[in-house]
Amino acid sequence: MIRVLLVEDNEMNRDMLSRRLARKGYDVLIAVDGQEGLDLAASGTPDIILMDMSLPVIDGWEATRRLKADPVLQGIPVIALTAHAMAGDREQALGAGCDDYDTKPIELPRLLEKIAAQLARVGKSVPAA
Amino acid sequence: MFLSERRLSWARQHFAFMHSSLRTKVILWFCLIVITVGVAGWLGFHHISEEIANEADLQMHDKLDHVIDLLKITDSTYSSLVRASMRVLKLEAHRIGPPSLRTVTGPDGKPRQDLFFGDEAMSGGFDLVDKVTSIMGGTATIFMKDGDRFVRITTNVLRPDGNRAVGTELDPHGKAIVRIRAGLPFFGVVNILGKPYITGYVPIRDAAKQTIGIYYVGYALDTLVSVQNSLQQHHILQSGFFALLDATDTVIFPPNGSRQAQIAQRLISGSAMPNWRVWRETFAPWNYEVMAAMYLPDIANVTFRMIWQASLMMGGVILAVLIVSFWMAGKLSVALEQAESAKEDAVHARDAAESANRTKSTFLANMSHELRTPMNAIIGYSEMLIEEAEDIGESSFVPDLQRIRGAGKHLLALINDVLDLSKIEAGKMTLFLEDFRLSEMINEVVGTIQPLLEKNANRLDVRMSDDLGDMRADLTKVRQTLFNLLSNASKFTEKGVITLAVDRVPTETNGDRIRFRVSDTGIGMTQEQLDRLFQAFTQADASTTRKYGGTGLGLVISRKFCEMMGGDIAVESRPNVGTTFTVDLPAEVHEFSEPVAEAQAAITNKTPAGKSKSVLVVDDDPDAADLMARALERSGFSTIRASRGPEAIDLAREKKPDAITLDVMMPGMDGWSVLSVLKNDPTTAKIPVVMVTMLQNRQLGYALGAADFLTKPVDAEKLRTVIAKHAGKPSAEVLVIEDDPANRDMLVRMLEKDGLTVSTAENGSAALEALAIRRPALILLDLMMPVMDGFEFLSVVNREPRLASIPIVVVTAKDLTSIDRERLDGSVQAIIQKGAIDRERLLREVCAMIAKSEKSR
Repeated sequence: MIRVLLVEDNEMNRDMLSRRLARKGYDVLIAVDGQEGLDLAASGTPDIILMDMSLPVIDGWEATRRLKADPVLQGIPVIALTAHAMAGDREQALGAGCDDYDTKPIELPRLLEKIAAQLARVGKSVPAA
Repeated sequence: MFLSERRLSWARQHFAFMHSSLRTKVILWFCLIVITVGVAGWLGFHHISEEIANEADLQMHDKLDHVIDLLKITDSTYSSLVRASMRVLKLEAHRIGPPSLRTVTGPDGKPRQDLFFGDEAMSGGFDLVDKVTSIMGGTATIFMKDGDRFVRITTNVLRPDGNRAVGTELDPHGKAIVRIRAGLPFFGVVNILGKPYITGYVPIRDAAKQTIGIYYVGYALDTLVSVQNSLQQHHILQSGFFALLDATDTVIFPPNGSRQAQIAQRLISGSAMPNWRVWRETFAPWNYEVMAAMYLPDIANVTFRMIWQASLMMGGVILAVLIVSFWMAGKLSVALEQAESAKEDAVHARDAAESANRTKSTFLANMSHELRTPMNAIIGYSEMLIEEAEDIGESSFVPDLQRIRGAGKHLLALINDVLDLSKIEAGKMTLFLEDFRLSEMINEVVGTIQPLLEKNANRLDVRMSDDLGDMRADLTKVRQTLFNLLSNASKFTEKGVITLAVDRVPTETNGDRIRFRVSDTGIGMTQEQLDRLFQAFTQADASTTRKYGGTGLGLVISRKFCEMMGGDIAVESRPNVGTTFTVDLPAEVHEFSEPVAEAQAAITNKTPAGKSKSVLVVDDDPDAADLMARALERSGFSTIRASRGPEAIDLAREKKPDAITLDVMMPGMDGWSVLSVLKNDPTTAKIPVVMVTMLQNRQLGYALGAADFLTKPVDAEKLRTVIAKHAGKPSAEVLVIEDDPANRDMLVRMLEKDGLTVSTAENGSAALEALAIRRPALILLDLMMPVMDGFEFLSVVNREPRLASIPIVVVTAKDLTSIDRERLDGSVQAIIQKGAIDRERLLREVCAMIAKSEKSR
């Protein structure tokens, strides 16, 4: 079972995305803020992390930076979920070390493709739905 | 009173109101003025005092002299009067009779002497003397000699007690008696019974010439008004006065008893009178003295009064000045305060503006987030429900859910566009430049547009030249623009072909440019619709929004994006034929790149002499020439027109215009040839030339609906593919239009080998004739042909609805551009699309070129 760590503070976005990912066969872990995200990344052994960039406690950029600085965790692909065309969001995400990014509003097929691509990169395969 | 309560409070008010530093200054200033005035006053006082004393001194002598003169006049007047009176006395006396001395018996029986005039005894009455004085005024006396003395026997001289001084004797020690005794008359001032008189004494002689008496007339001095007047003629300041002193230093004038007489007395007697200063001068005729006495404190008084008056005046002036100053200072300080508060306001306003600016940015950022979040929920949940509904087989819900989702997406698109536009209008839209591979970006965009294509059963043709390479620009904006154009193309086309062609175009001075062309075979637009196209919130037609969806903002935003990057979007369209949008961007976007605008700003359209710059417009199409000329004239250029090549060359040589716009497609001598002649002629070589053509370099047929292109030398494999793609059936008929026989034969052979039926034409007009008879499935067209070149052929074909649908494959030399360039000696200045004539852009190019050629002159 591929485990996805979803770090998203907005309840509705969280609900939508986690349910849809679950229906696609992913095991979804949920964190509601940056700190929890880091904690779960360490303890939950996710295969891939979807990181909303605007988070409380620690924001997405900082969380990603810390993840990528950690020798154990840096191998986990991180896909940043950024707001649409806000100047600098995309650049910042990539600068912080995200492996890819997707813009909100989430288009599931597009996101699934990106997840698949990242999993393939680290030698894992997508779950059968 | 002046300092009424009201005025005081006004002053207080204004004083208090004053700016504190200003107030201090005013007070200090005031003190300074007061001190200065005080010191000046004190010094002045002494100085003036001295001056006055000196003046008084000088004047005193003058006055004394004057008084003496007046007294002299008095003296001479009364001397004459005395003599006149004397004559009267003598006359009157003699009228009575001759004088004689007789002895008579007195009332007491004793014998005594009496003076007789005629038979009248003088001692008896006063008729004689009174008569005389009644005529002449003054006094008169008849003296009788009595031994050594002379006695007054009849007189109207009065004793001090008021009675006539009968019986008194002539002063035995006086001056008069001496002369009488000598038998001589006397005239002069003498004292009679203590009072001074101007007198005349004349001896009375009897028949024996013996002196028996004296005639006397005299005028009392102190009764003489003229003396009074003389002495009072001049004022000596306030308390000073003139006095008349007799030989014995007796004060004759002022009259006895007056205070002044007392002072004079004291002064004469030498008693200590330190406050008085005395001048004396002799009055010889009477042996008198005139004394002037000045009360010294008067000087001080006068000085003080003068200074006081002056000070009062000055003070008044100063007071007025001060009041005005206070008032002005009040106003000034009000103004100062206002200025300060205005400055504060300005600072606050600036801070407020800055914070509002920040707020605006934050607002936009927040709004972005706030607006999109619920939208995402709507879209996301409805998508999810669709999936779940399909899963559980309740597909009846799906259409409704899809409507929700659709509406949500539409609304989100609107929100995004509105936010983008707000950002642009607020000046907050910025460029994020990065390098990216063009082919990758294009593939991405193509991927995203697929669903829309499928919706209308459209086909997308992507043509990327091999040398695209990388671009440095705002990737997101380029993508958004392309997507916008492609989605528009797809929206307005059904079962048609959408072409996306991307090329790298080198320019002479501005580096490479990337051209994206999106063409469709959709409903097209009328000129009216084209004009409204780039305005926000108007789609080409109000009804199109309803029918075709969209926000109406996409093109506006796309254009703004392009402009921000130093590029532009142009559009051409024909109703029911199709539309082509051309995006032109620099391959390397720099921020704030507007060299053309600078050029435009740098030059004016007038030569130094004030004459307008002239442009020669060469175009065989009168409408196009008209358009061009009018556009130029509107910007202040003067224009000359030529409709053919030879005419253009003649005019260029003759008129030497400042620039030439040259249509490429002209009958007879085409534009390129004209250009070559112009550039080879030294008299016209330096004139900048703008090539105006329907088509651009190598984009050639696309704007006119060419379906594909091949480059010479034609590769057989490519040819096969292209034909198959467009002609459909392998046995279709193909029309080859090519002027070069060798090329033509080669093409024919290649095509026939593949089983196609081929017909040929050697130029455009021949082709049109052939087309009138038979309609091929495909046309192979060489562009550069004489008579009617490929461009013109294409434009003609496109205007014919019957022919327009035939796919045209354009064959062109790969290095057409460089051949042209060689041919023209690198002197092509610019090429502009004629169809979507962007006046502004044309003018900018013309100006830039003129500026450039001016610089190089």
